[in-house]
Amino acid sequence: MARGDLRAARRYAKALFNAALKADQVDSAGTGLAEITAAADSTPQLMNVLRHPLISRSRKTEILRSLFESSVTPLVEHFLFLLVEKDRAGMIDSVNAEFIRLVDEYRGIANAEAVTAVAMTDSERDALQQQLQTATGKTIRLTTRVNEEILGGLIVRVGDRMVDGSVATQLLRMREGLKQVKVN
Amino acid sequence: MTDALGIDLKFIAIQAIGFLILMFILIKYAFGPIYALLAQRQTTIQGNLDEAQKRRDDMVHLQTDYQQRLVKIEDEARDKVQAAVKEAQAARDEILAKANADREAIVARGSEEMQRERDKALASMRDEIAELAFQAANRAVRGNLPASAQSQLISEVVAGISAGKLAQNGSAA
Repeated sequence: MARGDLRAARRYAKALFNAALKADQVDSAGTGLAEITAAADSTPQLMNVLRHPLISRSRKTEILRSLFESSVTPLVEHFLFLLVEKDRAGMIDSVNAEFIRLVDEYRGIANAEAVTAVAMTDSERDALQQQLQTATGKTIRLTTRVNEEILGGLIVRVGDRMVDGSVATQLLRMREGLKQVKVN
Repeated sequence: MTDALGIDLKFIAIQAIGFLILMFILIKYAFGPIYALLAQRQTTIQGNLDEAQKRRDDMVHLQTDYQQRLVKIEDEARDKVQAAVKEAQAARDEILAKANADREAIVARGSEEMQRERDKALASMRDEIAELAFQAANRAVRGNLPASAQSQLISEVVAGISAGKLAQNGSAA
């Protein structure tokens, strides 16, 4: 996605978030937006229609109304129409991601990903989550993943920050350290 | 008495007058030119003698001059030879100095080159050792870490997580 599109997605997401917050509809707005995004992801034709330059805006609005009128709140529906009006319906995915980020930020939730060489036990997972919550002061939404290539240890990413305690990285660092040894 | 001696005074007088006339004529017409001729001859001879003397003096002067010139030439030649010798010595010294400097530079370059090659070889060897150690450790660890070791590694990383560490993007535990 282009940098300009990302900025626009953030702007629209922020507008929806503020409106939802004001109307005390943050949860329903999030659910509605997620539903629309899921529908768009699972139905490429829908995205093609929304992005098609020869289909009129009124026709697109009509299609969206028929699809989501009963399942999303008027706030989300109007937001969707606004995106169509501004020819931004194609960026619904990004808007949804930004909206989730804003909601998480508002609620003090941070996403974290832990990568290990073997599956983590529940106690390890709980300990990590607890430690991350203490370190960040936020509620951690933790996902785990197994990647044997890291050999051992753990790599944790929280937002754009990372702690790399993998054996693979330590071995790489050892190799680079050996290469820096001054020989006479 | 003149009669007794047979001396004829008249005759003598006439003879004397004739002699005087002859002398006068000779002096007037013969001796003058002869004296003049003789004087001229004397002058010519004297001139020749003077000329000869002058030539001799010139010759002597020339000889002296030649000798002085020869001496001067010899001095100049000696000076030139000495200067040439000095120049040659200076050139020799310069050539020797340059040769020494070149030799030292070549030796220094060779030494530096050897040092560089040695450093390069050592660095290459060090890198190979590092790579071999990395590969060996990688093979030894891969799939061979027991569950307890994995668990301990994870616990160590978890215990090491702090706000400061998370603030450093991409940092290693």
